Amino acid sequence: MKSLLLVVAFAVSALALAADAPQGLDRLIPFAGTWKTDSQNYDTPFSKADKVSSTLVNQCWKAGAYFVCNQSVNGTSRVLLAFTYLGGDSYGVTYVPADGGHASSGKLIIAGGMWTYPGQQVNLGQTTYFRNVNIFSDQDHIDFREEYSTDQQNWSLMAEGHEVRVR
Amino acid sequence: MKWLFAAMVSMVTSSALAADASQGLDRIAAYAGSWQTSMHQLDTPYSKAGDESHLLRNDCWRSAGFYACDQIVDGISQALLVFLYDAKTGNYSSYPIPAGGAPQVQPGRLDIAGDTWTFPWDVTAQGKTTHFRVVNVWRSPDSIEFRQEYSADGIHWTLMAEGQEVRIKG
Repeated sequence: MKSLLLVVAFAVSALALAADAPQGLDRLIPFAGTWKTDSQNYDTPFSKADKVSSTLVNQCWKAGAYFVCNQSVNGTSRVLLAFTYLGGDSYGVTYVPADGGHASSGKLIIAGGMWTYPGQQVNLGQTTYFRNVNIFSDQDHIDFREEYSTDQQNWSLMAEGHEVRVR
Repeated sequence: MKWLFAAMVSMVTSSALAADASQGLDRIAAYAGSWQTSMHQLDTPYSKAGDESHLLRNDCWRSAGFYACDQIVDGISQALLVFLYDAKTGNYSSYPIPAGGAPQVQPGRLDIAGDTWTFPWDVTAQGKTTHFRVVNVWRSPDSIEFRQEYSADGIHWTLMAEGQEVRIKG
C-alpha cells in the first residue's frame, strides 16, 4: 500500500510539473540569450579536427506561429532561425543565412532536456544521417555533440562541447 | 500561398513609400501595421475569377540584417516573411516561410523603382518557363495598388489579379 501511495504521489507531482511546463513555442525560450561555447571537432569524412571557443548570441522574438532568432557568432550575425511548432515534441526550423544564400529547412525534436536536430544527405545513392544533440543539464548549461551514421544505429562523433549561459 | 503573396505585395508597397525617408532594410518597415485588403482575380491559366477581402496585420521585428514580419490574415498567423538587403548591390531578397513549415524555402527578389516595387519569379514546367510578377504601386504611405501578372516572353504581360490595400489606423 505504501508503494501505491508513493506511485500516486509521484503521478500527482508529475502532472503538476507537466501543467507548469511550457508548451509549444514557449519550450524554445531557453534557446534565447548569450552563450559561451567551447567545442572540440574531430577528423571524420565530414569534419576536421579543431578546437573552437566562441560567444554565441541568440536574439529572439516570438510572434504568432513563429519563434525567430537572429544568431550571432563573436559579434557577427550569421543566420536567422525560424521555428514553427508541428505538434507533440516536433518543431520545424528554417535557416536563412545572413549572406543571402539559400535557405534550408530541418526539424527539432525535444524530449525532456534533450534537443535533437536530425538531418540527412544523399550522395551517389548513399544516405548519410546526421544529428546535433543538445542536452540541457539546467537552463544555463548545455552539452552538445554532432554525429553521423549510415544506419541510424551506430553513430560516429564529429564534434562535442558545452555551452554556458552568460546572460 | 495566396495570402503570402498578398502580404508580399503589401509589404513591397509599403516599403516603397518609406523609401523616400529610409534606406536599406528600414524601408520595409512601412509594411508593418494593419491593412484592409481587397482583390479581384481574373480567369487565366494560372488564376480563377473571384473577389476577396481580408484584414491583414504585419507584426514585424528587426534584428541586425534581418527584417521579419509575421503575416496575420483575419486573425490567423499565415506566413513569416524574412527580408534581407545587400548594401553592395542595393538588392533586396525575401524568404517566405509558411506557418506549417516547408521542406524548401525559395528566396525571391524585390526590385524597387521609385514608388513601384516588383516581386518577380519564374516557373519552369516541361521545359517551358513562365514569368510571374507582383507589382506594387504606392499611392500614399497608407494606400497600395497591386497587380499580379504572367508572361511567356517577359515582355507582354497578362493580368491575373489586382487590388488595393488601405492602412487601418489607430
